[in-house]
Amino acid sequence: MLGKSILEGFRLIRGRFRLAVLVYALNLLLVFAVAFPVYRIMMESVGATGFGKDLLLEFDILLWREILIENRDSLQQLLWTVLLVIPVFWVWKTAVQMGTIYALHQGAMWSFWPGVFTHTGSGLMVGLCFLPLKAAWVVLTFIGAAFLQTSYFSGEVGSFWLMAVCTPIVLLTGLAILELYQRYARLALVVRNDRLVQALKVGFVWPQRHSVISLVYLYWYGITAGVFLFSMFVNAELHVGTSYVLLALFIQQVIMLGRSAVTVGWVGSEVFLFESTLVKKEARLVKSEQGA
Amino acid sequence: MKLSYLIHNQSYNVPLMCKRFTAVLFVILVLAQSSLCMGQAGIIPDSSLSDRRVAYQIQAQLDPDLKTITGSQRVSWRNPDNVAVDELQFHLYLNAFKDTLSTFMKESNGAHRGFSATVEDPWGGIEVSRMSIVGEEERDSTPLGGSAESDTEITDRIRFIQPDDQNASDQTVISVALPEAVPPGETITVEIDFESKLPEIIARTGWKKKDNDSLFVLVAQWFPKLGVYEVPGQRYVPATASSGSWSTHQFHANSEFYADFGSYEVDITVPENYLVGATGEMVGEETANGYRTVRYEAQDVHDFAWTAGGDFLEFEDQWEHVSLRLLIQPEHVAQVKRHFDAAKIGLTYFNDWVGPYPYSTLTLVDGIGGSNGMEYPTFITCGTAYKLPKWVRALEVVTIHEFGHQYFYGMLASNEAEEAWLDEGINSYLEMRMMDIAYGEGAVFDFPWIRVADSDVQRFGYVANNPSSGAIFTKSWEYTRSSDYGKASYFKPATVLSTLEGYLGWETMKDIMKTYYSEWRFKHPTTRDFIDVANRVSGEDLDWFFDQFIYGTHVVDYAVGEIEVNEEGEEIISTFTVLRENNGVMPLSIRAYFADGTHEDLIWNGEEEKKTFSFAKGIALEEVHIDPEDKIWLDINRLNNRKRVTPESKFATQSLSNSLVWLQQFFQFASSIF
Ligand SMILES: [Zn+2]
Repeated sequence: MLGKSILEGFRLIRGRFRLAVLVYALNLLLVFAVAFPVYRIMMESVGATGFGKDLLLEFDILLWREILIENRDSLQQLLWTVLLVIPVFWVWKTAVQMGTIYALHQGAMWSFWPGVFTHTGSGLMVGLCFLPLKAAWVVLTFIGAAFLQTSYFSGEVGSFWLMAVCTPIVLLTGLAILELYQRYARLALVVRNDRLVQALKVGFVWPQRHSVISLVYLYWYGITAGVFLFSMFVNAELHVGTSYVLLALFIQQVIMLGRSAVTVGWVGSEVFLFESTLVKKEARLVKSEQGA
Repeated sequence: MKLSYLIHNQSYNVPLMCKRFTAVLFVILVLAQSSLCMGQAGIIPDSSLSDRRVAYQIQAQLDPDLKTITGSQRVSWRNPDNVAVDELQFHLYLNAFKDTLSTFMKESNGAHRGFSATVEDPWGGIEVSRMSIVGEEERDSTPLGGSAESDTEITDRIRFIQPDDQNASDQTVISVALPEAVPPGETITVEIDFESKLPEIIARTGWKKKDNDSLFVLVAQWFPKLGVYEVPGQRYVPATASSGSWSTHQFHANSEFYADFGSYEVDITVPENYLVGATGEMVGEETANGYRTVRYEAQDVHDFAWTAGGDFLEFEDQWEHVSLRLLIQPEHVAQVKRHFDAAKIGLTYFNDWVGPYPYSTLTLVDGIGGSNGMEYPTFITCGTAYKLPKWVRALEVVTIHEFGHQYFYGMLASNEAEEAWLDEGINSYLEMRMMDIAYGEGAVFDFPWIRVADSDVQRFGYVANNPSSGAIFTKSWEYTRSSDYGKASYFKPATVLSTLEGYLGWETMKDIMKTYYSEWRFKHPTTRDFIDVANRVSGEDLDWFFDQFIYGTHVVDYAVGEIEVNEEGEEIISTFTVLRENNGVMPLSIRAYFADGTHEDLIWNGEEEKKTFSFAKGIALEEVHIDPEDKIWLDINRLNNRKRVTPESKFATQSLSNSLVWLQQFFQFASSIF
């Protein structure tokens, strides 16, 4: 079942590649709003100086200080833009997720936009239910870490392992688990047309009942981590040298397109798992409970 | 002391590690030191590196519960003047931490460089219970502590003085009026009983408990220490003065130390399971009743500090004639090699660039709780953190810096209270230079894409910290802005001397360093002495430079103004202006790049506020670059040193490309958890 749903994910990447391009383009559009001012600032304050060649080759903290001072106002504005983009991104990400689930459900024969229009609202409701849980998890983790540090791990070594290793792992694991629940709640919204409460119940209960859900999730999580590391590696390798700036831009964007394809594969894989296996299994479970 | 890169160690909760290791070492030491002599009189010997005006003999016992040092000391002082002297002056530094009324505490608002009390009684202090003059015969025959009939008690002649600020509550300096003046060239010996109460670590001295409850002490500025009697012609005392005078500054929040050279014989008694490290060489050891007494001797030094702790590991290494010894916290044991490597880099480069290190020992201490980053003769505290990544070279910077102090604080021994830059500043300049050579572009912070060299740190510390305020030549307690002491003592001198290096060249600069050291070591040079050496060695009167940047607060900022390119018939006339945007003047070179890839270099004295240059060539000017070899580190804004006729887009494109991919990744990551 695990292998099948993963294979289905890869099949859908090929089959619905235009969907991946669409997801990538939407993503790019959003970050362009923030990144383009960076281009403008650098063109104005570095382009005219001739220091661009040096800065391409190596980090220079003194020049960067001057650049930041010279562009204090524009950078402040940019920071506001980033802050503004965060909630926009949150809505956008929900819309893309709902649209993708919709496009890939029931044989993956559907188009993207109707899903966005019909399901984004309820998808956001699910997100709003999870947001306080995620916030609470963050707060609890930090309170717990602070308590452990003052009471048991105040020494240098204990503090290191607690604060630099264990706390981030616990924090991210908790958030990833909550994210998993959220994904299945949203799947239930689209695939089974569940109402909000029922969908939330599916989100919380199914991943705990069926271990295959976690395995599929972990698998795709691993792939995105791989893409992330690969992109960082390429970024580091491309950083040095002044000749291939445009080529570097192109390669990085190809990788990001790949990342969007992974998103499509991931959702497709989960939709397949949900529809083909879990729905039947759950129906059997419910029946056997009623029978007993 | 190291101002930046301070790592305040936290303690670590494990039982005593490696007891066997230390036990084996003790046995070896005890066997090696079969003969041990304790408590013999100290007389100033003849042949020596310094003129040895003082000789100290001290017996000190640590009480780990009370955190006190009970001490007896016999100190001899030779009158270097041509007239009799009827007064002695001593520093009682620990009284700076006695209460909130001391000058130190008032100046630092009780929060000196990271000090925050975590215990009920963090205070320290030193009390002198007896002072007497020892007769000439007893000096050689009676052991320390045994008072003789011929002793002249002078305890009631002690009074606190405040030569700097008249703060009557400050008790960091005492004056003792002598019943009989000391004739020229004669020596007086005084015996002093004292008790020092260590503060919870502050200003690199005191005690701290680790998580496993073991005690760590860094015992510095802990005994009654003579001030410096300056004779006519020495430092700023006019050669024509009828007599010299004492230079004994109070302990200020921002001042370090100044003392005369001499010899030290110190017996330190601590609980048996403690390891001890100290200035000089360990020459004997004795164990009795659960206590261990070690004897240390040091010659031609001007201070004596020591550390003891129940949770140290000990390692040894060797560099040429120097025995290296490292006392390290067990949790940092993975970094032993990093300590020794850094120390050897320091030894090698300072030996090459300044002169030989004449002592036979160097003790490195990995202290805790704000004790790190400090220098004492042949004894430094370094400091690191558990799992400190290799690409963060805080440990290396501090170790090399503190070792460098062996030269400028230790042997040249300028008056740090009055002219801190001669120690901290010249030392920061050389530390920076050797860090960047030994460890490369990312000498301090070596992360891909973000490499920070030590020179970046020094320059940043100057340009980003109000460059026009606080002259380098300022007494350390007279800076009006609190951050000016650090800037003017560390970062700015490093930047100024690097600029001088850019002007004179490294070979000349190295000659200046070597000459300064060989002529002035053990003689307490002044700023003027350093400048005189620089003028003589370079063969040029550099006062125009030092007047602006050591005595003055001139600021250098040159900029490229307008560039115009016009075609006139066959010729292309290219004109550009260069602007002096501030009051600092430096001669500089200007490079003009042309469209065919060629360039021409121009030299300008940098004096006018605006200077126009023009070329009539068949080819158009493309770019102007002031100081293209980056020699004038004092220039506070480099971005305006360079201008192009047509902007260049590659860097902006790369910035766009990078911000796109970083943001995409960031949002993708965020979308997988929120
Ligand atoms: Zn220092």
